[in-house]
Amino acid sequence: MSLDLMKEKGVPIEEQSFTLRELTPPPISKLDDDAFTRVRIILMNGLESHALRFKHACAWFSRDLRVPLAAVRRAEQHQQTMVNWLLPADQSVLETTIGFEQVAIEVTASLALNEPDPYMAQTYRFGLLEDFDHLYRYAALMDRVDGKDANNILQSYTDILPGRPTMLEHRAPVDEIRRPYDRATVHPVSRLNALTLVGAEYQTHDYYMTVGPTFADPVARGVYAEIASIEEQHVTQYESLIDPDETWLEKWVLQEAVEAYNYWSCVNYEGNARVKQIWQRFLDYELGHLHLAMDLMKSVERRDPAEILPASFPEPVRFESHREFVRETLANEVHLRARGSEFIPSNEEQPDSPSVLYRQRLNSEGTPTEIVAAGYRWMPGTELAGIAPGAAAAVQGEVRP
Amino acid sequence: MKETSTGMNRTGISAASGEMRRAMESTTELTPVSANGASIAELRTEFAEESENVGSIPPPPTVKGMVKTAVGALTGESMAELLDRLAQRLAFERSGSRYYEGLITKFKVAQSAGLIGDGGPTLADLQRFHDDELRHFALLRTAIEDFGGDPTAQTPAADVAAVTGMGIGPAINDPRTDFWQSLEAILVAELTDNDAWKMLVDLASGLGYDDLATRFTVAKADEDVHLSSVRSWLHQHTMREAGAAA
Repeated sequence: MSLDLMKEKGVPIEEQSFTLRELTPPPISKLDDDAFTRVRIILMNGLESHALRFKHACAWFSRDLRVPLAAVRRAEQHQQTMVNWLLPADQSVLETTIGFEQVAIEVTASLALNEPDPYMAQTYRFGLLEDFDHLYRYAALMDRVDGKDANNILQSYTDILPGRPTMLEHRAPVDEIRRPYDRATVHPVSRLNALTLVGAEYQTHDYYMTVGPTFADPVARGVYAEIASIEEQHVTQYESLIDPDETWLEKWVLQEAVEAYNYWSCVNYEGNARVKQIWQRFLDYELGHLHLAMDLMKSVERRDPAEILPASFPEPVRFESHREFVRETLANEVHLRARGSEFIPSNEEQPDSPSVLYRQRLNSEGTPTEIVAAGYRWMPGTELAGIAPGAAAAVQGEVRP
Repeated sequence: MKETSTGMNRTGISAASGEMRRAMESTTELTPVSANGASIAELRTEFAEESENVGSIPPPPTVKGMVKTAVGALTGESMAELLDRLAQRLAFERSGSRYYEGLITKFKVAQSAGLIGDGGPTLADLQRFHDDELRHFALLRTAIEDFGGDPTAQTPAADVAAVTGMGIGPAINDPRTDFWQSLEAILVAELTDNDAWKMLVDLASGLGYDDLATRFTVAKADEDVHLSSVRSWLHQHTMREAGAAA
């Protein structure tokens, strides 16, 4: 079922309320709930986090919008809490990290497939192969430090394989800025896709920056620090696709539309009845926020929000395995690098290019993501399942006396 | 690696003795307010009564004939309990082998710095213990497979044991902990492991799986050696450091 954005008004902001008890709902089961329920929780936490971030920045630049922004932010802060607290306490930081990378792979793949703009789709595939590699590195970390299998979290929806090696993903800032879409001509779906990925990647970066220092093992600390650096690149990359000439109110309307679109996608796919009720409630809340922002756009800017919004939502985000698409992308595009806003084959990258020089310097004292995954091949039940006890020394690459 | 010694630890109240009286004064001026009714225990009770459990035990897809019990077919409940316990031990042994990898690294660093001393372990001891953990992991994998279970599944008992053990790996692999601090973390793991293997032996025996009980008894004997050795190394080291009579 689709949804008519102009007619569906949702719940007015004045009627959106919470109790403190509601903010801490019973969590999902790490063991029994579907991996995509966790994917949706992580994604929506990221989008709500970005909603707050955007609205704070917006308030810095607008005297008149401060009160309505604060009202919507309060509801969204509570929404974010309720969503994020669905994650269970037996899900370790590293297990949650595996979930973050599954979001980055499966959601990015879905958006790349429905993206009408070929250049933006190319950008998503480019980023996808990098997050795909992060999953492989974190899976190796989980296996080799905790002795645990990342597939317990992934539930066999997502492959654990090397992508574009993380050590090659480090790029100079000048090679991270993509061409923005043109706000006058862009397809509405492209706006939704770009903003979805900015929110998801921003939260991934912030999560790694928060949890990275909680690890004791120097390998883990190094891997989180290195991958957090790439996630910052990804935020830079995806946000650079968005037309910087959009007005604050235009961006606000789009921000609400993105949240509503993603909650609506969650409702379409959710199998856990209790969680589905939360998605439905927050879809209604977001429609309320959207209409509030649309009304402000009409009254302040004297513009019709229909200029920038689709009449109804496109296909929902596909919360399902994209194994074949990812493998195909891996086979065809893993060799790509970036030069300015363009993507080039690796053999066209000049030895004195900004990114090559940057990479050389950054990797010159060792690369944690290479160390952690040296020779790593995932197998069901961890790589130890494939090692005979007598050959145990091979795990550490050691030679016995 | 540096030995742990006395220094400028600032955490105790006596480290800022000049401020102690003033800090105490401020608390006497405070009148704590009682919360509206509910206590921490009441809140926990309410949640505990309402909560679902962490998850379920996957049912074995097939039951192979070779493990039919001597006392008849197992009920589903008995089988679930057994598989949950086997999976718990499997996960713990697998993590345990990774803990020993970290400990071996620490040992080598300490040995190079001359910080092991007489009465401590040898590299061969630790490598043997590491290999034991890996062998026990393989033993449990085979046992679960023989029951038609999936040794890659994370069961509730395995999951909760992992939560309980969350501090062990960090205590071992933090580069700032010395070898003996890491060894103390291994002691926590070995204490749990020893009890759990005894439970597995009893469980296999009580359910009529005598062959399995025999194999588990051998593993339990390995674990007895681990526990007594780790205890002894730590004891001797601590007594020596304190200059106490052994």
